[in-house]
Amino acid sequence: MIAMAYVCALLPLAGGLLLCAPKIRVWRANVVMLILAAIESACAGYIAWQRTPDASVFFCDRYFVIDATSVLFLSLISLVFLGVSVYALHRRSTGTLDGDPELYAGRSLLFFAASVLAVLSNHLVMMWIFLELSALAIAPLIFFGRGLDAKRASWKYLMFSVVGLGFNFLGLMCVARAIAGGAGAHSAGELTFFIDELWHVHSIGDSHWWRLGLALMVFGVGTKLGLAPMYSWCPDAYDKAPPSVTVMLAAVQFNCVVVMLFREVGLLRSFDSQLVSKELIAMGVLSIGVAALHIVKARNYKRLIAYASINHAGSIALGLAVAINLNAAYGVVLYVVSNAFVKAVLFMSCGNIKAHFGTKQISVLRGVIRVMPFSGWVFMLGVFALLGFAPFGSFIAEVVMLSNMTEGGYLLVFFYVCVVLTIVLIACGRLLFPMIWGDASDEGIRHNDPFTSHLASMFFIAVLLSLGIYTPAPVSHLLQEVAKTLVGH
Amino acid sequence: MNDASDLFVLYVAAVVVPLMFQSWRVAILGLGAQGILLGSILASHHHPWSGQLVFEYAYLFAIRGIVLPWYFFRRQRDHTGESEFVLIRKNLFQWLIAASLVLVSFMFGSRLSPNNPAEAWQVGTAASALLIGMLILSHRSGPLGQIVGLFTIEGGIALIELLSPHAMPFPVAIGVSIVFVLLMLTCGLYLGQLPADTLATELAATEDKGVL
Repeated sequence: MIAMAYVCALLPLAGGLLLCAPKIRVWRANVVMLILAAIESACAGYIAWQRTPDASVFFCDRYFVIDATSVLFLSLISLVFLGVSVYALHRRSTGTLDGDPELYAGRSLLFFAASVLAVLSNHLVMMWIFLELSALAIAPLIFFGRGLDAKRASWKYLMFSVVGLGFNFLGLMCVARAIAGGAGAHSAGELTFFIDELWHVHSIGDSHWWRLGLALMVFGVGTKLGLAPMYSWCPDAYDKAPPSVTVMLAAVQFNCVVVMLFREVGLLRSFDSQLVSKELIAMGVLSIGVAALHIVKARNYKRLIAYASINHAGSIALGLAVAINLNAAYGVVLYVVSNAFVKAVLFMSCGNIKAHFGTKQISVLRGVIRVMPFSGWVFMLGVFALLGFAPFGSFIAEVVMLSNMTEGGYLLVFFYVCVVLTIVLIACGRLLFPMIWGDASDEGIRHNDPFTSHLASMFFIAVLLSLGIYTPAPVSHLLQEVAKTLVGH
Repeated sequence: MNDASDLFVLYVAAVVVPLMFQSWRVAILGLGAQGILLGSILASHHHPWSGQLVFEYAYLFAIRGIVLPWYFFRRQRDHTGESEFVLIRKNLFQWLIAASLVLVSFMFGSRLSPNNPAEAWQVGTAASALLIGMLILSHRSGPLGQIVGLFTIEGGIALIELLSPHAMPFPVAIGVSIVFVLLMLTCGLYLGQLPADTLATELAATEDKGVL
């Protein structure tokens, strides 16, 4: 199993370095990327299959770990990356993805390698390093084959990303200072960021340092997730990037940051659950409110999905804030997993629709489902999952999270979330349903929309349905194991 | 005042003085001075010699102090896009804000570490760098201005990192410095590719057109 973990960590790194190396020409780089992504997914599946439940296996001097959280998110991002590779290959074959294919595949693989290493990290600063590296790898991909607007969006993403992670790092340093003080002043307390060791820290030392560190850590991760108030990079980057890159940002990198949030919140909640909850609630409430306002006035469907992503990030923050028991935490984990597939499906469909119609403006599009049947259906199902309709996994997750808000006594938050969700539902329906079902001006002209170009999206929709209707026992057990880490020790 | 507090005063000067000049050369030199001062502050802690300490000195003095300003100086000289360079607007009100931020930072430092004046100085200096960096970033003065703001914040974070009595494990320290170098190179990629005008305004103007 450890050998497979090494393969998972090093294979995309080697592939990325090879493809990015100057003077080395690789035959069909996108095919190579697809093959490597398939091997990666197989290895992740093997690790998940072989892993002993409720056990952690450390490797590479304990810097990396195979536990429930790393296995779940490794499998998740590997599947999404495989879907992205299939999609990118299709886009390349239809001539709708510009730029040097080797550079695109190489940078994507380097980004993915950093993401995998971040997910597997057992050391908070190591995880921070790999998240920074993943941001640096993907930033130039945002303007890959695009113009000045995309460059600006990429720059904005880079700035926010580095500042957000900087705050997180600062928070870690403050917590380290607090722990060092608590363990007997400057000479006695050993500085540790190994997650398994931090579980055993009982004294938190100087409470000022501790609270400052905690607040900065959550704020930093919130910035990376696109939570308000530091959210403005998110719609710009998601909108301007090529669709495959948007999926990598929204469903791969987002989940790596969620891993960091899970690890940190799980640890910190043991010491000061009130402060963590209050900060998460503040950011969550602000995010879903801001996102709803933007959704109401959206005119661009890709941007609308980007705002919905901010809404989802806010919901995750709120869910995590009120997750005081195992059932509530299970709802959050299920929501996160569903959210990854929903965003992958929607952004890939957006790319197909934009490639055919040449616009992202909602008002000029009508009857997409008639002109592009497969894209239209996939987009429609994605929107249903986005809005939390039954029987998708996101429906179950939302119900669990909302019911836990009432159980936990967060009635005001519950009421607020219900109002905002209703506004989002109405706004999305008003904007997107005519776009999907309206009368198309070129209804008679069916676009060549092959079934094969939606293989990845259809697989993701099947997974979403499965999460809502029947979750296999091993998957359910894995989700529960991750949920356990969120409620603190 | 002792040696360490002198260094902190100099560090604050390296952060604040570039605000008063409309010169990208002074701004970049300020970043280099911050790197050199970070190395000097580490030296003032009198840690026992080790391979890792040598590495840390090389990282702070050579990379932050020399390579970073040299690299950005070259990149900016090759792309002389920003003829009218400003970090913050040159008026009394803006300088007053900057001075207030420094003052608040030192008050914050003394409140956070009331019984440890040396630590209070260090925290105050780091907080000044962080807040001034944020102030520069908030002015959206173009890529180089934002790079200066970003690396000023990075310097503040590095100062807080130096507070820790124990060094990070060596592989982690190497990783942090690799991230710094790659961040510097990536930021350099954008210099000359983005115009010096504001970044957010034009994006907002195109966001709802639905075209790319």
